[in-house]
Amino acid sequence: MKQSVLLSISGKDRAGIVRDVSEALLHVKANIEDSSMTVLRGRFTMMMIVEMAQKDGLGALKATLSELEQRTGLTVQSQILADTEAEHIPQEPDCVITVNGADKPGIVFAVTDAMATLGVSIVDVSTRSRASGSGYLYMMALEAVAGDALAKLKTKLKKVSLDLAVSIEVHELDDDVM
Amino acid sequence: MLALLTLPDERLRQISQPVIDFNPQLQALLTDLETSMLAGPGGVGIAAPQLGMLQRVIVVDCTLALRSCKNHGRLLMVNPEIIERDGEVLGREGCLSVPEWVGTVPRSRRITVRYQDAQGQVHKISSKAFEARVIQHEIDHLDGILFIDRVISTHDLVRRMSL
Repeated sequence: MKQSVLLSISGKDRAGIVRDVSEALLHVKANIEDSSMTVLRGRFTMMMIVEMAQKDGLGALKATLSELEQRTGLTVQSQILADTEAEHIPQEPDCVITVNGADKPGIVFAVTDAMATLGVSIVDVSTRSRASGSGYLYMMALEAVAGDALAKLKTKLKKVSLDLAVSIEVHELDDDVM
Repeated sequence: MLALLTLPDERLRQISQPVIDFNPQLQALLTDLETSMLAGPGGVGIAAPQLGMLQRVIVVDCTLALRSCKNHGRLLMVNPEIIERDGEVLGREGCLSVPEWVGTVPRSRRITVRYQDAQGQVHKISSKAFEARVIQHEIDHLDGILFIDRVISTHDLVRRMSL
């Protein structure tokens, strides 16, 4: 029986971390299925789903990850996934929302609250804050599955944009093959 | 029917040649392109290199789009060239030659295209929104460019905003 495991890995950034992690995984024949990695300021962060061919390989995986932590100083957490979770394919986004303006508390909350109350699910988000002139600029991009709620979402986000004095754009995504 | 090329076929990466002779072979190529475009589900455009013919010929038909949009009907474009563009919009793209992949791609909102028809007559049209996106996608094929070269992530979007 196959077993999928979610790994969360973080640590001080340097060249060679992905190599070190994949080498350790290769050692116990853990197959990397999906992964997402980025550097937030000086921190390396990575999440990945790995698949073990056999459930009894979990002990070896745990041991190699703990050896990896000791050797590299990385923090590694692992969670076992149920088969239903491991096989679930997230929906494709049908819109992209971009937000930018002067940084102030509550931007992420206001935007995501408008989305959550309409049942709009976020599948990907990136944010960044940068010094600019006298203050800070805040930028956010979200991919979401809006479905039939798209028109209502646009109206709600228009209000959020006025309330917070930030610019919000909703880009509708078409799906055709060219 | 000519076979539709898919990645990693190297011909998809080559630069197509301008059409000089408006002969029956060109007419046959246009017919092949139309047939292949209609054969796949949700096909709204196709370019000659996708059939292994390295000539600057594309067919676009946005009446076939899943969601209705403003369009010029079926466009048979020979030697198409974008001579003006403005604005930028994001859209989701997929490609018959890159099966199983979709991605978010920025494109110009509005374009003016000069092209020749099957008889060599020169035309100029202004296109916007979805049809403009399809035309840009197909013209990219003539230069060996695939949409996956232009895909951007939310990460890229915030990076672009901070420039």
